[in-house]
Amino acid sequence: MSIDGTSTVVLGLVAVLLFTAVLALLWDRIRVVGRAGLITLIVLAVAATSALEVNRLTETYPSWSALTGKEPAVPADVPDASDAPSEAPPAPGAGRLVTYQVAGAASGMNMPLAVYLPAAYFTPAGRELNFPVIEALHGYPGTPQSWLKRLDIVGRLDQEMAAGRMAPTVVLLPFQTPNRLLDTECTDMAGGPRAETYVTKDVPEWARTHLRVRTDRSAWGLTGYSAGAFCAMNLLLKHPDKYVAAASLSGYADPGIKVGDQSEKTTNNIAWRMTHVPLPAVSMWVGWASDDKDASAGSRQIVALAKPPLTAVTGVVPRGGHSHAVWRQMEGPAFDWLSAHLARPTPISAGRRGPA
Amino acid sequence: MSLTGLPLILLTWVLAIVAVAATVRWWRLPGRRRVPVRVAGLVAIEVLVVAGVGLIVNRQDSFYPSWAALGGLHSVVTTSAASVGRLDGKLDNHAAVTWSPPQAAAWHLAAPPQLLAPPDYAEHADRRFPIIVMLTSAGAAHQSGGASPGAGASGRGGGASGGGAGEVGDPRPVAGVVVVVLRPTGATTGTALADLPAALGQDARVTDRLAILVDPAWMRVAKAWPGHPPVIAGHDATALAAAARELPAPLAAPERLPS
Repeated sequence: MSIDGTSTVVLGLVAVLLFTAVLALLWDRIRVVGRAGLITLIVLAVAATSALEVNRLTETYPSWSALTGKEPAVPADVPDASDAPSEAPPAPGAGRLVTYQVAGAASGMNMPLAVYLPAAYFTPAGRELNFPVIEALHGYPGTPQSWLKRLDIVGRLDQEMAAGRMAPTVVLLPFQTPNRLLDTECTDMAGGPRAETYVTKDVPEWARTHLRVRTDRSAWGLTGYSAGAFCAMNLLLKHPDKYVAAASLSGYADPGIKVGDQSEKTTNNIAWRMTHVPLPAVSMWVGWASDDKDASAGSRQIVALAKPPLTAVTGVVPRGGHSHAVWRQMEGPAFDWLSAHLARPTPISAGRRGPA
Repeated sequence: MSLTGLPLILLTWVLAIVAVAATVRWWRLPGRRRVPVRVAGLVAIEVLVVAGVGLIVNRQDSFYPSWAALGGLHSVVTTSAASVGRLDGKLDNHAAVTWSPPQAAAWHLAAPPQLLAPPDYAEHADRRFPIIVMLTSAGAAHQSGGASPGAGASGRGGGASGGGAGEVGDPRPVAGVVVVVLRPTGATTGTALADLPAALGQDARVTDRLAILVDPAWMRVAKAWPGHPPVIAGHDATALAAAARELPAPLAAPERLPS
């Protein structure tokens, strides 16, 4: 039984009802110790069932083994998936999801990386191409599984590419923290995980050496929802030499955590950066729901501070709060916009001639 | 009653306390109703306490600010219909087309702009293509016949008829890009050319994403182009390929949200 299935939550509810009925039935026949034991059991069952439902919504622990910390190892250094001859061809138009272990030399973080490879990656013509890349960042609490299970990112990417609204693009889904209950907001935390280095240096370097992807900034973009949306905008502004565009789904202007070096007030604060540091030539898609107090205030502040050479466009959902239902509506518009702002797939043999 | 309002939170907690009191009060009800009443009371307490905690958390973080948000949403995503350009029919022929928009008067060019559609222009009728703007004097320099700039198009006696590739510095169609060949003069400015993508959007299926190929003489115009598009020196096939690399793929009309 999966940890994030509806049936698991239902089972929890059944257990609560069962213990409740037993307490009501046996109260008059058992001593104080028995009564206290049963009440404790009920409280624990209610708490556990609530926790299961929260976990189901956020995918913080997508599997029982993730909870126990005994996850099966994923291949560390698999050669390019497209070169594996024995693999069955994917369904027409369907991309493939592959998980690799990425040990970050610069950050020291060693985490699994889910990789979406578009259907075109496996076609004869696609084998001669380097593809643009989007890094998609998850919220907190959350894991890359939130993108996969709650937001169906694979289905949406397949759909947008099949409709021609997106160019074939490789999408990377990195973890932003080695500890599921530690919110890094994709920063290099003082004395803690170096998530920023992992996401902006280790993961791109791994992708460049293991996948057929473009290596220049004009073909690299970021996206994310909630905390991941802050990450996407903050990292775009901090690393305009590596990324050219970002799409923010309900993001904030500040990280909302203590980084440990006060940088949440300065270099890791988007509002501070946009008023104190020259703006880079990058593009942003900023989306929010009007009734999502914090994210709409933060997002509006960022849009108000945007001026050339930085450009920002907005996407507003009138109702829906800070929820998956909102982000499911934003996925198509955000990914379509990103693809229209990232450079195209190019032949591997093409010269590396850059802009003058 | 608002999902995130204090009244609902208070009501929930008051009901929870009432449920506790009532369950205690009728805990020892005689007869067969004792167990069902106890179960009902306990379940009510459990539900109200969980709801009370959930409502407080939801109020703080506005996950679901309204009952409508909790119940599911009506999508506001739209997709605009595929568009057509007025010159689509001519552009499909893979030959250079002379382009004479009314805005061109302000551009002070030595000759009318030439358009080169990509080989896949007709095939992808639902897509819009990014633009490569070529700023060159090569029309005069490269032509063996020595014709003056603009003679090629007019010499063929046709407003929008095809011109040979030779008259525009030998550009060939580039996959996934509409090429616009401009021959600037001393009076041409980058700022005046800012409306080119919008003007071209009427006549061809293009986006506002563009790259500039430029001969050294016209670097001034390229550098002044609004929006800092990529600028690449040269006008040969290598330079064209390099410019195309900087641009997005041709794409169908995107999904959009209200802005």
